[in-house]
Amino acid sequence: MGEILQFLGRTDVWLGTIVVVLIPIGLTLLTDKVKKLREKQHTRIEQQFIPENHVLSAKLSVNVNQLKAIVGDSSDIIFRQFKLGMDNRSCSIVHIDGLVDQQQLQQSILHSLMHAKQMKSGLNPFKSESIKDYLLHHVLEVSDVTVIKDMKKIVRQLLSGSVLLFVDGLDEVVVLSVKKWLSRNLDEPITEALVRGPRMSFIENLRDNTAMLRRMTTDANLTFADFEIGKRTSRQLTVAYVKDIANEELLNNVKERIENLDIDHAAESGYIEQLIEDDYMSIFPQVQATERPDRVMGAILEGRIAILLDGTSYALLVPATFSMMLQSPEDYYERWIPMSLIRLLRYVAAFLSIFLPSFYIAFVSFHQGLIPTDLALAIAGTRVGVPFPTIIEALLMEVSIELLREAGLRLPRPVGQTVGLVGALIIGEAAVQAGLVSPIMVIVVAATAIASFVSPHYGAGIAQRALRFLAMFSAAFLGLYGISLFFLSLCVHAVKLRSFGVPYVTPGTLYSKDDWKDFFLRMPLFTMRKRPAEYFPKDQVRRKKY
Amino acid sequence: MKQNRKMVRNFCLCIVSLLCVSGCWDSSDIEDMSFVIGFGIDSSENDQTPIKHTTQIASTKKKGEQGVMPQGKLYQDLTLEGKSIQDILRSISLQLPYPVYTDHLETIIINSETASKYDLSILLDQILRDNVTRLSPLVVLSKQQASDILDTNIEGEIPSSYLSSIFENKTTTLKIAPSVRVGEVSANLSSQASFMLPNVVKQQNVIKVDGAGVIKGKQKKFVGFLTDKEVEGVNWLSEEGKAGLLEFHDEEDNTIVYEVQHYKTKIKPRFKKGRLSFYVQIKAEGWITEDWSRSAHNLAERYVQHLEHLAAKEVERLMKGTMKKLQRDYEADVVGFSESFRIHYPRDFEKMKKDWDDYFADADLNYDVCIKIINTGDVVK
Repeated sequence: MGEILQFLGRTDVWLGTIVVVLIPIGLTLLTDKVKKLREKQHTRIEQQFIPENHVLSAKLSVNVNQLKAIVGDSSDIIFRQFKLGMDNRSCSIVHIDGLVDQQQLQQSILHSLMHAKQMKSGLNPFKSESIKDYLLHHVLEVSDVTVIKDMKKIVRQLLSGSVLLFVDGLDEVVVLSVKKWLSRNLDEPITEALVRGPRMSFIENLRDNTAMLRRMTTDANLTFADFEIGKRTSRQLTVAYVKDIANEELLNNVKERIENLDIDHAAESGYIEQLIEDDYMSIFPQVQATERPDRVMGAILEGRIAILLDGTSYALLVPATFSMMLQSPEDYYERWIPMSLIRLLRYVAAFLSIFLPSFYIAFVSFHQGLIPTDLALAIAGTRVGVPFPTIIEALLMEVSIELLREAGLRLPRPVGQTVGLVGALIIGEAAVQAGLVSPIMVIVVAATAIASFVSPHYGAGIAQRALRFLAMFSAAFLGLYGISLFFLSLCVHAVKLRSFGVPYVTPGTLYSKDDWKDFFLRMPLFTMRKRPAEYFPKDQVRRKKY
Repeated sequence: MKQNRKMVRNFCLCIVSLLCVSGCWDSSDIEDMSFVIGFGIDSSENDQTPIKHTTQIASTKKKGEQGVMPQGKLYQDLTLEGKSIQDILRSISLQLPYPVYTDHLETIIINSETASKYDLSILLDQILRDNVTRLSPLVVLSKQQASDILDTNIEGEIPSSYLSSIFENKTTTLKIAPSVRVGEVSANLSSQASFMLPNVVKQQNVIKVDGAGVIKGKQKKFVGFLTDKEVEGVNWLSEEGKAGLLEFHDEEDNTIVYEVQHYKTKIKPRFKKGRLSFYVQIKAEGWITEDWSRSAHNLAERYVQHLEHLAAKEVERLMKGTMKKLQRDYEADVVGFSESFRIHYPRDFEKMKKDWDDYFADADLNYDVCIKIINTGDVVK
């Protein structure tokens, strides 16, 4: 009893208890707060650019004036009034300069309207019904033609590049689609270069991108489902999947998330990625972004779902797992033995890029006994005169490498080269000679930097770099023990994480051991007769026989 | 609400500051420690401070051009006297700026006189108790002062690590005594088994392994030396060697060299009516690598058989010489016969292990040596 009282009287016991109780409480308070912040609703002022009671009239001048009132007097909107060739009826064409194929507008629309001949059939051109039919059936030489009555839609169509045709006596508008705007030529994918494989990358035009996919297959099951994203800018977003492969549940999940997201302007697919991902606190990318059409095609044929956004060359693939971040399409294009080895190398590189500096710190400042004697003496010899402890030295070097990388990225290309040269000189030679860092540290940092560029997925590479700093701090704090704690917490997090219902460590989990043939190694193709089970595809068999 | 927020912030601050207080206590930079590579244990004449302890520290403070061999000594020897080894080690802190770090200890040299004066388990007590020092450093004996041996200036080498790498030559000679680690010494001491420690000598600035010293299990003290020829015999008996040379002579006293590729030793103990006997069976395979006899280029089957016979006789002679010394002079089983006896007669061994060395001294020995020459070298007739 006395001993218990004595134990309770000790201050360190109380301190320990307080810490143990308070850390969870603090963490829950913090997460609660963040959760509240996420759930908070803001009201958006609805855009009211069109009065509710707007109805098109039969009079041309009224309609045109109404439109002018809505879209204002922008210099790029062209109103062209003319007479219809056969009966002097007033017509008006409205379009936006620059979004329309001028040649087609001249030849197929203006020319045919102004030179329209008197019809031979018995249609009465003065009735509004018959003039519409006449125009659609005999005059307009454009394939994509719609007739719209709703003013709101009409304005949207105009602003997205269609040509509006107002006809006197018609209370509808003929919308002609002869869109054409500047777009880039096909290029090699910059972030995902391959030695062997198609040298084709997505571009900023969504239609071209879907066409690229369509070009790869004539399968009727390839489906594009369209959404409008951005309450103000209203961009087109396309969900691409193969109807009889993609899992229904996954598809509904993706569609639901896209329908629920609310944003006024999605400039890049990165916005979409961040708004539909599962865990915004995770450091790992839970959606795979890619520029390669062949990668997208391969993915949707495995039962995954692609999300393409107009205006960006990056498509998104869901669900994504950790092993995907270390796979390259080339793994399948080359033969399996060398590519298996290269894939293993990528795993090693990923490990090194996260843990190499931290291991160096742990060994040099905690576990000198674990280094072979000769190496220990060599390291000690090179570190003589270095004024900082290892962690500061490592941070110095890592930060300067990151600085160099960022500077090389941002600077105009001719200047960028100079930065690379100067930086290499400063880091490699001058810093060592000035005694700021030890030469072995330079080796470690350089090896780490190279290892981190091996990652075939740019987003994963960024994550690795961030993790590296955390690992370095934990190594400086508790040595190898700290590194193992850090690694364990990383594992705990990765195991908890899910991407669209698929565990992030798949196929590292035991219940998907069939997919291990495509995990660390890339087994020969005959072993992969079935599609990966992790996405639960509807059509499981890929190849019937060898 | 506001107060609540303030409290949360304060708690967070407390936790963060705790992290700064704790942790990193084991952290010390690699250049701020003195790597101990070797220990030397001698006894001193002074009765007040009976132990003379030499600590060999690798000098890492070599600043200058990279890739150029540093000039001068690579090590620093500190010889101090005291009553206990731990005290001596700590006294080093009075003259060295950085604390000693014994994780990289490679060799412990014990003066043979000291080893015959003190119980070995007492001499090594500090090393065995210390949890930084490993069980891997080698233990060797020396007739000379350990401090002298540690102060052998070999160009570009630290004597202790130089010494420990000599023992990697196990595959080239049978005259080298098997290396013994501190862990094995401690195991032998606690089971009161006799064992052998290699002996090193310094001759004109050269360190050399020369024979071995015998530690008797019961007294845990050094009792005497074995020459390198006797060590060769021990290697044949205990199968500790890997490969090496066997030099023998023919009838006209010409030297012939047989290179042992590998050999096997089988010990068959026999225990009947209190009488212990061992049957030693050796099978070796190897090449003839040098022949000084006139019939050197005679490759006839008969001649080769004759050589095999001569070699076998030589091995037997070596073993007999060794056993004579071990049984009569030292009464110590350093050849590991106890192990095979324990396997064959476990119950009897339980009773006998306390006085095993006495039983060993009285044991009879029978030898059966079979030497095979599988190759006579690239000689063209």
